[in-house]
Amino acid sequence: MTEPTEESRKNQVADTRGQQGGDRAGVFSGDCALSDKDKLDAILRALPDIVFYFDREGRFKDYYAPEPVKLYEQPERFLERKIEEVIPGETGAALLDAFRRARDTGEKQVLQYSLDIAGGTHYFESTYIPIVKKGLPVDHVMAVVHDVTDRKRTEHALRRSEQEKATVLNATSELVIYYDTEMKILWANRASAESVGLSSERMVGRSCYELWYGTDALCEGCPVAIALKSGSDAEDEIRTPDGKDWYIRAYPAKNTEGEVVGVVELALDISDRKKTEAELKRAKEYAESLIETANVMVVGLDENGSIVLFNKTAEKITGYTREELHGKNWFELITPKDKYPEVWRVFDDWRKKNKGIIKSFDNPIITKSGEERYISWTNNEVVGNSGKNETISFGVDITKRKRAEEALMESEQRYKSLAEAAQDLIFIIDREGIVQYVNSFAAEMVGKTPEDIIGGKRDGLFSENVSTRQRRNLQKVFETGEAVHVETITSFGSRSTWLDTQLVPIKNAAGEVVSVLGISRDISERKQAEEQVLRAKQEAEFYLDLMSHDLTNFNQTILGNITLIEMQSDLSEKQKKYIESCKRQLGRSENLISKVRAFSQIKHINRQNFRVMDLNKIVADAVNMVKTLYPNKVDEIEFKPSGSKTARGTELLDSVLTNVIENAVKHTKDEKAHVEVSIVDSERDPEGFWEIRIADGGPGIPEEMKERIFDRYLKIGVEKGMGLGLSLARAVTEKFGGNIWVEDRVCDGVPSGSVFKIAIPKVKE
Amino acid sequence: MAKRIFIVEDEEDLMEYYVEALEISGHEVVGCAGNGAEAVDKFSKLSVKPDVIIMDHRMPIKSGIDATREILAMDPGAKVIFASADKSVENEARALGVISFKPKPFNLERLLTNIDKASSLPVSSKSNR
Repeated sequence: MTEPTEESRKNQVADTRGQQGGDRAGVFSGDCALSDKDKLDAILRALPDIVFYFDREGRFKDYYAPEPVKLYEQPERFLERKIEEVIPGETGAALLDAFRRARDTGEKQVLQYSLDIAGGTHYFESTYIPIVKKGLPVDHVMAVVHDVTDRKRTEHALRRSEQEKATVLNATSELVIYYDTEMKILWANRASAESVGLSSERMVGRSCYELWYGTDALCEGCPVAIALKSGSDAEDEIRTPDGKDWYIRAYPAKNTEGEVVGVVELALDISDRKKTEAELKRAKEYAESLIETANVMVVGLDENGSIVLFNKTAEKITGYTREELHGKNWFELITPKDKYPEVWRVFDDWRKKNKGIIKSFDNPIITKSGEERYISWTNNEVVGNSGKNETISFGVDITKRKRAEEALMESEQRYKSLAEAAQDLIFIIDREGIVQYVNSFAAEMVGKTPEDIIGGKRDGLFSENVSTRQRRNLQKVFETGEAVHVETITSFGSRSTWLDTQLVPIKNAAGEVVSVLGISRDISERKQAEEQVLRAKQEAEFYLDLMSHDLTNFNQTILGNITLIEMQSDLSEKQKKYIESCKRQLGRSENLISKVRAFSQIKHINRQNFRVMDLNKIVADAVNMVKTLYPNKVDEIEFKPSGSKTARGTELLDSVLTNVIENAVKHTKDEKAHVEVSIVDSERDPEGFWEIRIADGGPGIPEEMKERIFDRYLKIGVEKGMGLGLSLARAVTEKFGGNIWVEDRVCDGVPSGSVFKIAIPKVKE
Repeated sequence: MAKRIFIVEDEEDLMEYYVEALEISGHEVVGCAGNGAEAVDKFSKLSVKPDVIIMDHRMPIKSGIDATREILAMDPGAKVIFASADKSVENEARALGVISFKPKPFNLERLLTNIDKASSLPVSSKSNR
């Protein structure tokens, strides 16, 4: 005997309820010949149930058991014993309670419970029927015990099955809802409840459009409504106001007669899938847009070489439209086998899986117009829609680059030819001192071939001294990035050669000097010629110096002796005239010597030789010199020294001033020359320069001649030496940091001669 | 006022001119030398030193610059008028301490003026010359 299960206790509570006894429908009519006992026996034999009789105290007084095996105890152990003594525990108490209520109320009581008998649990339903005699209290109670084990087990199995189904349906993330024919919810799983924020129980009786859409009208195209109406499965994708996408399937539920009694709705949240699909779509469109607008050719081929993808740039470059090419064999049309067998071989190797795809490949193609263009391809292997391998290739038109490379190669070849034909030494040295290039001429100079030298070290080709000097010069180019020009003597074997070398930096794209190009020319002959010229020049200068010195000495002796003659008191006028003539010519001789000497000395002028010179004195000396040279021509040379006026220079300034003043005298057309000389602050730069002005009353100098008169080789009129004198004056003043020029002399607004102006820097305190 | 002049000149004609012109002008020529070495030698032997030395530059054996340097070393008070056709040595001569530098050719008047000026100068440092 077992205690009642939790369920059985519930059943007890649920099912133990009073029922009205004495239903007339269940009472014999009494017109039968049989006795009541016979009738009762017959009934009992017909029943499969066990029947017990209890006295008022609840003792088992009698029983009827068609299947004794279903008895909880043997008859001798329960007859004359009370219920609670036979069946202990809660089951016994419940049975006793039902018995008492039947006895005390006179009403039928029903109780369900379980007992462990015959090796198993059996479920029973006992009906306590009070036996009443008219006018008397209940004396006996009869209990009819019906074995409901099979029914209970079926019920349990069904309940368990339903629980399992509910568990499964609650566990799924898919919404499962069962509607009645009015589209009211009969059952909804947990996912459904969560989607609307209600419990499953609170969803019951409500409609889907109310819960998900907040409306009171049926949604258009609702699969549930369609399934309900059509009796067939229906499906659709919908979007709820919360932005979620659902895949709805509706299945009609039918009874055995085939009538629709409800609809099961399965709703799958496909928001993520939709989002992914949308993203995929966008990505696909983006990729297609990229392909279409890419500035490179995009060509897709199936494994037979047929064109499956062809973008606009490919159309532009090949000249074919995609309609013309779609499905055509790329290779037959674009890269004919007879011209480009290598392209066919490479594709064939991939197609037959002899080799993997070649990622980068350059090859020419033939356009629709028959033009050959070079394309640089980047190839990829992909799986096509058919599931078979395809290629997708990105091609850049490198025709221009290719042509440029070819032109460059041609150009390089040309330059190489030039370099090889040159009678100069041409070489390229890198930062490590490695010879990158040397022409045959240079290689021959060191007794080798270019192949012997290229790739080797430069310094092994020359003596240590020469090599060190070369390294220093190369280093200068690498460090400064600027060209270096040197003239050096280099020994090639026993022969010393003067080389004029230009070292030029070769820079990379970043502007770094990566190597140095050198071009050396044998200038030994030129050097010899230069040395000869230099020697000749030195000789000329020597002779000039010797001549001018000795001539001056001669002149000095002549002048001295003329002076001695002049000192004689008995000279005739004619003799005196001859003597004056000799003195003038001596003066001119000395003037010429002085100019020539000055010219030869100009190149030696430098600031280190400068000394502070008193301009007043120099000008006065020059004025006196000219007066001596032209005693008859000079009427007056006005000069009034004033203040301290000093400048830096050499004695050549004497010659400059003498020349200019002499010119002023010589070029005066009047019989007597009147010259004004002055020293003033420069008009252009009063602080920095003195201006020595020599003004004459000559014919003036035409505008177009004002510059030309300083030309060394120009002579004006019949007078000699003017060009030499003025060009000397300009050369010397410029060496002193000054200048000389000529302007018109204007008196009272009327041009009346020229003013030579010599600007010379002041000595700063 | 007559001065005692020592003449150093390798050109014989010019030497003769100097002697005659100076003597006519009232000066006394106390010695002559045809080159720098002779000049130094004779100067050293003069018991009474000249008032003025007229010194040429380009001469055989020893130049005027070298002779002047040695004479001034012997007698820092010696007054040298450097008379040369070679203007390139002017700075060097002045640096040695000559009284004046006369570029040839020059006239007698100028020479005499210089002699007068030189002899009137006090015997002092180079900067005063």
